[in-house]
Amino acid sequence: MVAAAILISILTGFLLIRAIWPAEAPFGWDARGDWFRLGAGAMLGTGLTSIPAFWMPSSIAVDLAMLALAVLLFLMFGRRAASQPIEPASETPKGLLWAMLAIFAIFVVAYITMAQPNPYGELDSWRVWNFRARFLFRGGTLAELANPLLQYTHPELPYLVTASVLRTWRWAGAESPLGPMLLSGLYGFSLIAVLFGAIRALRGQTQSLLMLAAILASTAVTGNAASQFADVPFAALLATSFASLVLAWNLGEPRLYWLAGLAAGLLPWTKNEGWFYAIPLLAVAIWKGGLAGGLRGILGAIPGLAAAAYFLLTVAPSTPGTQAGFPALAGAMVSRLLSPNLFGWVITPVITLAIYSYFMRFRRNRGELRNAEWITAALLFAGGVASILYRDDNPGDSAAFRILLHLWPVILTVLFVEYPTPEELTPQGVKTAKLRK
Amino acid sequence: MRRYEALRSQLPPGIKTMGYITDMEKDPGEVEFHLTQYAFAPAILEKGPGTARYAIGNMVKDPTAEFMEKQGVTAVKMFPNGVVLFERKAKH
Repeated sequence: MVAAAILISILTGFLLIRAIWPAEAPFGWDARGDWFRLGAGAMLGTGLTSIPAFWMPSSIAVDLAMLALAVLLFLMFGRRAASQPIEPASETPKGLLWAMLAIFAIFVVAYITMAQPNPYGELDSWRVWNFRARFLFRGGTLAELANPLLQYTHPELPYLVTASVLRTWRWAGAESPLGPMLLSGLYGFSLIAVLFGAIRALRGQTQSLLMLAAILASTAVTGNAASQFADVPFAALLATSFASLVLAWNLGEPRLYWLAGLAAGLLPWTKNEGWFYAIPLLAVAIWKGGLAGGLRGILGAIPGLAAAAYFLLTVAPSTPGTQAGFPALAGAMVSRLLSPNLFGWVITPVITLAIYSYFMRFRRNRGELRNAEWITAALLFAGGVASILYRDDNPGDSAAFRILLHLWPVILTVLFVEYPTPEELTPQGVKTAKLRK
Repeated sequence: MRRYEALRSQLPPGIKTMGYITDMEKDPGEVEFHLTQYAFAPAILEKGPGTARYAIGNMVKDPTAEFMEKQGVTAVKMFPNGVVLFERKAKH
């Protein structure tokens, strides 16, 4: 039943995205767009079903109603032809394909090996996210969770991860460690599928496989997913929102602003620093999408933003940061900005990478679209740094780790959209690229 | 966490808070305390004998009469692996 709960949320999200961004063949697998739809669908489905799971005492009937609504939307809108078909995928060398399959298999084995000894995750996971799920599942109340004796469970943190675990246990009727384990694996898989799928849709299969190698090479995804940290679903939602914007611009699919908004809205429902990312994402949707795109983004964001805002206003206790008042907080943020840890671990490497990339001039096209991607990534980076300055007394390794895990998929997306593909670098490809200019 | 299952199954229902007593000299990061709290949720643990009727014992050695006297508790039942159910002594 745990698996059924998870599959229903994936199906709900997948059908919803198929309704927003129709595939070329409504009832078949569309390899060029469906890897993205599957990863993003898993995240959106999990996120959206977590909202009623938190606010209502029962999950099953609401989940089935949400699935029925997604089916209805799919039947109404998902059978239209895609407004702009994706270009056919190019031939990929067989050796690369096999190498990537081997790398992915190693990722899966590594995940299982790391996750198995800790079915409830690492300290922060079972002490915060899974503890709160267990507490509520066993009949505790939100008011009791706010008891000062339980301060270390962070009652001010939002509930996407906790309520998703709670939902699987309600379906199973028991506290199965499979719930948090499968969910954390799903978050890791979704992050990878979103990146792979977005680059596959935009730049073809070979480039997407190289992207896959780059993201799997970062042990942060495997390790943090196995540890059940909320940073992985957070990164997956951030990547979904950002990639939806990039897809909307490059494929001329304004309906993808819905998707960008839905994922952006769920960020503050996952972690409080999500506000620092959701606001720039929605601002960019308004900037680039105009009234129609901006409206789609904002309306899409409403479920997550409303849940997060209502939670902050009615359930979450105030934090020391908010109690201190604005002048004191602003002063503290400036002093934290000067922290050597923050500069050494976060700001310096990212700025170095940006300067290097600029001077290497690898950008295919210096048009407006590329600028939008760079500006959005820069705004998200600024949001990430601001979230650290707002929250951490002494920004150090953990802050660096968080920001790099959240933003690394965004940076990779920009780079792999911008980098020439191997096909473009062949003599014939270079000639074709010059002719296009 | 499973070492607490036998004790937990024998607790009367509806317990909201319990004490937490240990003779461990060190508990880095209070991991042992948090693990115990995780096991007994939704009951909330207070460090020390606390104010509730019962307290969980997470013991390295069997509790001595002197130890219990100092904590103001009596042992209700001993479970395997150093787990003890204590009850606070009524104040005179």
